[in-house]
Amino acid sequence: MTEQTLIIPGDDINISEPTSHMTLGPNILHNIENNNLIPTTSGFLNVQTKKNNTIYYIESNTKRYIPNVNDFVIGTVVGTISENYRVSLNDFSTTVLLNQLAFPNATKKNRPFLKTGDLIYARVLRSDPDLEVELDCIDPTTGKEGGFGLLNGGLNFNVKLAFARYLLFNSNAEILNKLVSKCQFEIAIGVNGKIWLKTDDLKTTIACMTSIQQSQNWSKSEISNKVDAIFKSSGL
Amino acid sequence: MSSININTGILEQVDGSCIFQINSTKIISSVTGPIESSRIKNEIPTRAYLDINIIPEKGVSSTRESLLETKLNKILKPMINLNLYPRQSIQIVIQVLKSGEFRDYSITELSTIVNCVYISLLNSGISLKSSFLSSCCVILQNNEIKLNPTIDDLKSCKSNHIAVFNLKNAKTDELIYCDSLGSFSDDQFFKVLNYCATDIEHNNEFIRKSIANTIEKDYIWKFQ
Amino acid sequence: MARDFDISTNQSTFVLEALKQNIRLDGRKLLQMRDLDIHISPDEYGYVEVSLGKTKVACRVSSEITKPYEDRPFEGLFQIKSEISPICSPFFESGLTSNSKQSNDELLISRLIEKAIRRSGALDVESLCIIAGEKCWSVRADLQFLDYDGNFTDISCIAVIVALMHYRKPDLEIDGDDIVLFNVDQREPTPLSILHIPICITFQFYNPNGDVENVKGDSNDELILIDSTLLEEKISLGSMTLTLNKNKELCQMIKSGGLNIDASVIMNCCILANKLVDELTDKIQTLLKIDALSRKSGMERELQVVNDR
Repeated sequence: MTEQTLIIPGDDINISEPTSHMTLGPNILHNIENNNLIPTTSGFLNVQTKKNNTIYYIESNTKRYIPNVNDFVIGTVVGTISENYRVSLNDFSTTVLLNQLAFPNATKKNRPFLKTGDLIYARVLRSDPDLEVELDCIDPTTGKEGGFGLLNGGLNFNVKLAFARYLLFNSNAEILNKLVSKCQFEIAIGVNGKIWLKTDDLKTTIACMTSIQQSQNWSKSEISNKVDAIFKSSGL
Repeated sequence: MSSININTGILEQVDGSCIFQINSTKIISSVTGPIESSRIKNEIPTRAYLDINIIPEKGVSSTRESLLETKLNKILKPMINLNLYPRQSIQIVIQVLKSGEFRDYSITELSTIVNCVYISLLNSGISLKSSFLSSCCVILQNNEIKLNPTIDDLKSCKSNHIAVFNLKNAKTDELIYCDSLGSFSDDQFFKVLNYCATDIEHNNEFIRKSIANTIEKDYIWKFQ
Repeated sequence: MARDFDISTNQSTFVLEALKQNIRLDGRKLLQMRDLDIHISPDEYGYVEVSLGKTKVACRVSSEITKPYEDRPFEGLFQIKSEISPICSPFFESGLTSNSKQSNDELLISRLIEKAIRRSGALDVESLCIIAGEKCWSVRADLQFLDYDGNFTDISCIAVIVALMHYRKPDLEIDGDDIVLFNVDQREPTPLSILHIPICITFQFYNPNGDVENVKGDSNDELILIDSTLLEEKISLGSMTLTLNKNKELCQMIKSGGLNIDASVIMNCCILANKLVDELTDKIQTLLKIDALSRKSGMERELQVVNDR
């Protein structure tokens, strides 16, 4: 277990070694007057030094997603405005736009047709608090589909944001490893706290969903037994 | 000694929530945001709109609740980085579960509401400028200052006071808001502020511990 | 602009598909309720917190003395406040937003509770009369909706009735034209007179083959479930609320629009609801009994003080 420093707004952040560059991540603001760093929420302070650059950010587990460029998200189509689809990333958040041509090889005549209620996996293309946020469904490195686009069938559900980030960026997350040993499934994880899951069987899907959702309250050692229990109780 | 009981993140549908109980006052509050403004007139181009709602223990909201809402708005506005969320809304709802005082007074209620909303805001992840906590007290007929007044104290006191301080490194820093009613002298007023500041620092130890507990519980899947 | 919850087509088709196989997302059977948890405040009368799964509601009953209505001099006043605040979900907007869908939902719920409890005569308003035409008790129940995961009607009905049954109003004595009120320490407060315990059961209807089949087809294979969650409630094609009591009396039946349902199916619903109401009533009564035992009467309290000395 790594030692974590808990921090709340109003605490001082020690700038340990003055490095030439400082990168501020989420939840930290910079006071230019006295060159202090201001934490803006409660959470664990993370400081990483790489060469001449020190990265500061506060890790906190919340429910509401604020769009950032290059984030992978799962959204629900809620309507269309002229050339764009309106997509919702969180219940009641401001909707974001997805251009109808923001798909690989899409042309005016040949483009995917999405309906209200469809689920899509997309990337945040632009996020400026003063402008509308835009998504696209193209992998920027290859220009191809890259797993983005319409999510067919299956089931989507919500988890907390830090947990979603953990699952997405740790390909060997314990809970997913355990589920892999139990059944076959397709999964898409959006950092906006939405997970889409598809298996061949209804009961398995529900068991997987329950396991993932409940594992937010389990410690690592409990995962194996509790997942087994869930699968057993649903008759699998 | 005051007995404080805090329960964080109990509500499912909102972003941040907290039940705060101190002595006989019990408040539940929720924070949701930034969300899309439900009305065009609430869209402010440069900052987020604070939508504050206080629901009384019994009966319908009256001017008393409106006054409390305005006071709370004054306290919260400088504490939140509203400019980070232009054109959006932050919805704060407070339900008084147990008032612990008569409707003619509002100090214990307001001070509990401030503490409760502070924890809810942290729970929701809304960007804050600083930590802040509140305390209230009365000056009794024998000029004694009493923190956490009971119903009887409020009825018989010479004056009642509420103060909100911001916290820097767990120490009270600046006075954010204060409100007093009754007759009192300069000296007494400054004494009251000092009393409140000490009480806040004292309560902060417990509140901070409970915040730490919540965060640890939030990350149980990662570190344990 | 009124926003609704984001519910994807994936979710709605999945839930329907699962319901067809008698599976619900939380592992319940179609006709199974979630765990009902009633918490009665130990240090005061008439305050309860009820939760049904993730749905949470609190209710506080209070009373004061006022003048009765002129046309009903022998009756006391009884009001239920059921305003839904955005604390349970941003879906419910604050303030008065007429015309919006939310306020309609809210209105439906408040009317339903009103009918279930007030109009069914659960509280004997005549017993609230103190001096005919001049003084009477005014009892109010303030519902506080805290968290929303479907089925507000059933849970709020339970919350109000339990709070009413638990509430004690101060005892009083009429001395000529004066009324003498006694506080809790002087005289044991008196309970309200509750004539029966109405309980709401809400059914949700779904048709696996779409609503066209429901009207034109002959098959009666509508899916029926009780105690719906938020997601289930949102994709339901029609609902019906029955209010019953333990005496097998049907106090109200509301089915506003939605799927056409056969009379025989409704009869089956009634029979099922009756069974559930029996269970729930027993549960409520046992809880209240336990609570009453834990509270010592005034006499006992005084005796204890003497003993301590």
